[in-house]
Amino acid sequence: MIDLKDDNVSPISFVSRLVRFNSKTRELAIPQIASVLLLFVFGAVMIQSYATKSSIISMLIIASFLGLAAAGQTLVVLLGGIDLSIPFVIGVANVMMAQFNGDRWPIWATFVAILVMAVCVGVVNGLASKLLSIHPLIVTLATGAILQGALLVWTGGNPTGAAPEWLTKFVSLLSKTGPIPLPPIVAFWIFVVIVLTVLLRKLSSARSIFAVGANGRAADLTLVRSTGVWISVFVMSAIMASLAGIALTGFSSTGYLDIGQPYLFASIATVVIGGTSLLGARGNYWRTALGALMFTEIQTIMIGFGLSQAAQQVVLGVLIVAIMALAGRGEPVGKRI
Amino acid sequence: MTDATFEIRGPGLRSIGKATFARPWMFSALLFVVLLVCNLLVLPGFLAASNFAATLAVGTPWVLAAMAATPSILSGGGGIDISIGPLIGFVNVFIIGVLVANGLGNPAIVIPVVIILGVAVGTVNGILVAYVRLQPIVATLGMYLLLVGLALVVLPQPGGTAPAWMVGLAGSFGPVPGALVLIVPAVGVWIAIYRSPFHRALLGTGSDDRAAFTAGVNTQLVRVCAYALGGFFAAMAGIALTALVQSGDPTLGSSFTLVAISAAVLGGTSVAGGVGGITGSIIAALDIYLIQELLSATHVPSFWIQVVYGAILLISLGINSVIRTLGRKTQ
Amino acid sequence: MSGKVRGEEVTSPIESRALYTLEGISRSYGSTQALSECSFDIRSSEIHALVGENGSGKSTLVKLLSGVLSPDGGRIVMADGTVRTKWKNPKKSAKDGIFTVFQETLVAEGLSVVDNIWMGFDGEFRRGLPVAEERRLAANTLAELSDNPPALDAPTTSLDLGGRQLVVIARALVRDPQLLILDESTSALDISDREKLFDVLRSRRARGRATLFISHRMDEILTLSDRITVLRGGLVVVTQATSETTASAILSLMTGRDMEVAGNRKRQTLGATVLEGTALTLRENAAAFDFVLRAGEVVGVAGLEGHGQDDFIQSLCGLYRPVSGSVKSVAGAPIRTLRQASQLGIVYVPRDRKSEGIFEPLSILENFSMPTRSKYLSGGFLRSRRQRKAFEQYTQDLRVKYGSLDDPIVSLSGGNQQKVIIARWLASDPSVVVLNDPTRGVDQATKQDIYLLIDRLCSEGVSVVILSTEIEELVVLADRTIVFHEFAPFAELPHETVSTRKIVNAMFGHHSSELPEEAGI
Repeated sequence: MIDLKDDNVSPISFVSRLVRFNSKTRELAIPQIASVLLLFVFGAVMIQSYATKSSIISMLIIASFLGLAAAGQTLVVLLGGIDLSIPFVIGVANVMMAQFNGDRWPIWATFVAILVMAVCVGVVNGLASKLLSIHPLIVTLATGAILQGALLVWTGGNPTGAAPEWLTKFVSLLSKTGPIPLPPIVAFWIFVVIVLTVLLRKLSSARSIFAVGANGRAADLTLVRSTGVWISVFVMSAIMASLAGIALTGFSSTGYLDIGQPYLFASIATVVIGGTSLLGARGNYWRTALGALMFTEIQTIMIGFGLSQAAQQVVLGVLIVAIMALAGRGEPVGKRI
Repeated sequence: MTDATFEIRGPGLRSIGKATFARPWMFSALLFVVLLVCNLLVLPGFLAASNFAATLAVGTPWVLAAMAATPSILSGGGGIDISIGPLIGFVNVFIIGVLVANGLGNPAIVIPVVIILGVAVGTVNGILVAYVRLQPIVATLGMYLLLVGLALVVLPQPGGTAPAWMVGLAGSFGPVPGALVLIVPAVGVWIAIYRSPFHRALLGTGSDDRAAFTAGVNTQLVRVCAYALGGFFAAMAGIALTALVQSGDPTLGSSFTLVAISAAVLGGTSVAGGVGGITGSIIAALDIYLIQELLSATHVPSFWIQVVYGAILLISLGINSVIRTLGRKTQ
Repeated sequence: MSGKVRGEEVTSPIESRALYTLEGISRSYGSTQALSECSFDIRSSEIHALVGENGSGKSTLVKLLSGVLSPDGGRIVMADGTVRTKWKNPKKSAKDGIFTVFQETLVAEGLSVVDNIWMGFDGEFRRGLPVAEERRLAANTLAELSDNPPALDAPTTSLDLGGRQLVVIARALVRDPQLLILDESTSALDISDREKLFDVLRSRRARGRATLFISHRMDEILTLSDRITVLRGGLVVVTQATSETTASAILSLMTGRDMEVAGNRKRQTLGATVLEGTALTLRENAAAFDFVLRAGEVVGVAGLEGHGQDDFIQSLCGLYRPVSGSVKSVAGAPIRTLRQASQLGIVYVPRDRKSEGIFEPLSILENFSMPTRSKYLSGGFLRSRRQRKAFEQYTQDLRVKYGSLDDPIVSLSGGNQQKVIIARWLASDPSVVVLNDPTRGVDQATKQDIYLLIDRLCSEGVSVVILSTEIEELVVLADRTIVFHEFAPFAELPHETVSTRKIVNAMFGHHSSELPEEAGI
């Protein structure tokens, strides 16, 4: 990238070459890493108590929820699709957790029930997308609507129950994970980031996702089990969304039907800001994790500045466009011929 | 394509398949007939003249919203406009919270201003997609958030009253249903476009922008115009919505987006671009409206509407897809 | 008005002036210099051939002239003295009289034939021509190009590749450009349609128009063109009159070396039967036929586009289910799926690299190892070192040139990409290799490497079935060539007596014994 033997390297050109969004820096997610750090510095300077321990841990907790919700989205986007049912899976898992706990189900039974729900949603999403050739955008839109309706029918609009004690502790600001001074949800998320990243890079069956996302026909011709990949990815997405929903129960203590709503577009934004391409086959989960950190920092800074809900939306909208205009532009048509 | 070869049974299915393949909106039209019959069976007075204008007015915002979602999808390249809903909502609060609030409520001001607003928003979307080359879902997501936020700034709480002349739009002006006053010009604009060379430039760009580009089409301009056109229809939808609810509400808009896109796709517009049109979107929007009417007329609890709507969407698209695959195989 | 062609009609074909003079045109992509200081001119009343290997810069030059890309340096001087340093988009170069038919057939599937032809000719909102006039001109042009032209309102999705190519060529011809550029755009055309096209090009020439004709088919170039420009490595090697040169001279100018022709191996005795097709019918009402493939055999397959040869070779791999009959392995089970075929050691190398072969964003190594991943696993994880070893082993013969195995596959030239795709299947130790037009879009050197590979494979007892649109290859390589016509084999020509003339005749359904002997091949 930078040839130090070049006599023309001056400090200014060095910095400009580093900052320029060429393919190498984008590959290493340098813009994202820099943004996470710069945002932190900005927040620490501008806002009282931004850089306190409890503030940082709060941000990490919120980033964990977003990160888990966006994990599934990352996988689906790598496949070349998009999953609009995530917020509704979050809602269903959230309500199921609270409701069943309220009805005194054993915890394993609740988990199994939620898992079954996630698998069913994922299978329907995957099959409809692959076998019926309906675009995943529409499929997940429809399954999302069905889930939303099913939730309303089941709870009559009034979810009951409460989160179990251990779950509230799991996401609490004050908890620790053994010797690590972080709440279990954060430790869990970091664990997921590491595991998912490594699996996506090295696990043969995970690489099939990239193959299908890159060229479905070539994947079929190289004996990749495409239908299985589609189903597995959507099942994984539903499972990750369920985990987010379960964790959120600990946060809100009761079930809440619309708890997943903010994650509909936030999950897409997080994936995209992180640098995973909507075209498929390019990216990884560690990028989404960076995106979740960026997103959370931006939100915290806006709250710290006292921006109203409305103003926050406006700023977020402008920022997303600005960030992507810098780092995520497509190729002009001439280059694709 | 799978390895399996379909066994095509009987000439009936084959000709339906061929017909569906030839006209993308055929399936939604068939569905329309079925739903209309069901509605009439359950509610004989459904299409009664006395009620017709009001019945139509309830569906109008959805029809116009579906029209608004269509051009951007047609323009291809991952084209989609998720800011349609918030734009409709923003137009609503803009009329109430800005125009009416400042005594600018007369139609000679409201209508042109709102239309310019819609076209301007659409144009910005188009520029982000075509010139900045952002993924459409990203560009319109930014606009979505911007408009949702701005709507809350303009009108933090639901309230206000729509100007008097708008009542007619949700009712009738003499014998003419007010809804038609909005729908007919919108459709007229589309017909003018359909007859113009822009239409084939649009579909060409949507099918393969490289083919259009090398043939001499200004694909960037075409895409900007597509999003601007969507903005225009969204502005009309905003007017229809305001006429219907007779007040302003900053939270109304968002829900339009997903239904509008569903209607466009159900109506035969392909998510990949280049195939489809407004006809299908209008029919499919009416389909969705009829489904809702049918459910409430049969006293299905409102909670079930979402479930049924989602299921019908999935099943219809599945059937549509199967039929079209059969149709293609007989070519 | 948009689409209007500049320049006057030249009445006397003898009077020839330079329409477009390229001076010092250069273009680079990153660190690769695609074109350096190219200078030549294109004159009125001429058909000017542009030849060069894949990778010589032909396509780049075409894109520069078409307004798809801009040159880094140099200029183009036009007949009236106007100087251009670039055209910003194809519309602008069309205004200067240039219109191109690209190598990739660019049709808009959502539009009908007539709309595809006239798309882009209009202003933004004003029609270029009234509808009736458009239809008339389109119909006339299509009729000039083919005896069986597609209907004006037919959806383009219903056309095969040949039909689509006709549409794209008609799109260019209706605009009557002063310079028509044809970039290898005749690959799927019927031989009869191709002849009609050449007649059209000649009549354009008589009217003073120019054509830049890019092809790798020496026979076409020699019969059709007036002058030839040879590109090699991004440089113009020479521009000369066609009458003053020969095919082999051009070929050696293109490649810069003398070509050794492979396929001169000793014809060996063939082994046992490995594949058997019994009573195969590829379409309703087509003739049924049998097929036997033996170990170590090279079978060539040819035919006019859409006559069943493609379906046939795919049926050998389980990708196409014949209407009746079945393809069986020695063990006896009918081959119904690709997976079954590959378990039996039958592999398929597809025709179109870009749409069926490569995973563009993925690395060279990953593209190579995709179908054979199970060999490099431990505990479900891919071991990099094992993959690399396998890659080196299987690409040794093929001489793949690459930077790092982790580079994306698109960093390789077309020829090297093709080698990786072939190697990917060799790594599964196949007993039957089915190749669908493997030398399409590759340079001469790669072609030779592939021919040598085929030689080596069959000497090791591997059977090769090769479908090719380059008839000369089959003449040299195949032990027997099966020519398809109307979805069934029409002739089976053994190596000893095969010739390109016989293959071509068979493609049209004429047995060579029916025709008087013609001198020269």
